[in-house]
Amino acid sequence: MTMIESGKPQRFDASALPTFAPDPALRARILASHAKQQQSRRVRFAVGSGALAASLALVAVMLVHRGPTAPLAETASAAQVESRGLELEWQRAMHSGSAPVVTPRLRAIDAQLQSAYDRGADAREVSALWARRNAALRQLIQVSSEGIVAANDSGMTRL
Amino acid sequence: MADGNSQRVESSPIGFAQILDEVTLQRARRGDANAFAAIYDRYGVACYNLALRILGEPSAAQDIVHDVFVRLITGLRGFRGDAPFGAWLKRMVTNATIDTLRGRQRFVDVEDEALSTFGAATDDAEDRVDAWSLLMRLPPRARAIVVLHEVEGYTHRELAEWFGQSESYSKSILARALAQLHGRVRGTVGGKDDDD
Repeated sequence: MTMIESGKPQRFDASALPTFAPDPALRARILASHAKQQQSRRVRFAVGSGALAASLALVAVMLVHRGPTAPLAETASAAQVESRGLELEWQRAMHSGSAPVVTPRLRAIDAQLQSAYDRGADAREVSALWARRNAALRQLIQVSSEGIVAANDSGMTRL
Repeated sequence: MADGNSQRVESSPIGFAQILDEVTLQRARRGDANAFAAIYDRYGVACYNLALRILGEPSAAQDIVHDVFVRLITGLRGFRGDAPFGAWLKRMVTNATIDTLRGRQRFVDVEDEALSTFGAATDDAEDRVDAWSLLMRLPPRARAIVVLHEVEGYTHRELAEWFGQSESYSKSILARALAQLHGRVRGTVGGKDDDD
């Protein structure tokens, strides 16, 4: 190790450099950091896994409850809007400023619709009923425009 | 050591050249604390001495080792095994140490003056120094180049990349530093280029 043999430096010998041991506390410090990181990693993993599982469950629930029925529900809603338009059209065709009249057929369909909504029927059934109602309204509009209803309105009542 | 925190130990001739077995590596990658401790036990001293020889400060060297091993916890997953683990770890320690040097103002633009005054105040009593003391009397960058080239075996090309300088610069600094260390140059800054 010593470079000096006769009071003067000879040659620097890199291989003669001493080796020192670090403070033993460094090992404990490093292992503590390791344990801390592992713990936070586990927590992050658990939180991440939980969030992922919750997201997947939510998506699954949404798919089960809305997936196949969503288009039908939209169809039923559109038919309902159309039905309201047909009612107004029929009212105009009847030249009546008051409430529109309702035929027994329409009343029966409305009762079925009400029943379907009350028991939470699926959108397919509701949509079919709205379609039937719209068909009935179209028929009434057509008949009314041909002057037939005026002659035979015995089966009609005002809404 | 002068600070009393570090104890001199028997020199390990292999240091970073030790082989890390695949089982320990895989266990450490999975977060096994014992495997991680085994890695520290195997390479910790080498890491510490590399940083200490360049920085010259035990506390700073310990901070480097701590930071490197903390980064190693996640960094192990990035180790592909292209190079031996020890070489990969040594590069991490070297990078961290040079980053620390860069952050120190005295590291910049004082090399010539420091090298020129190296050994100027020596007398017979001070000449009775060992390799360590001589090394510590070099300015930081020259010391880093001596350690990385002469002890750790890095090439001038690698040193040039680390220090953002040309290979000629690295060679020049090394030649002058070695000349100072060898006692051939007193109070001059001349020097010749050394090869890798």
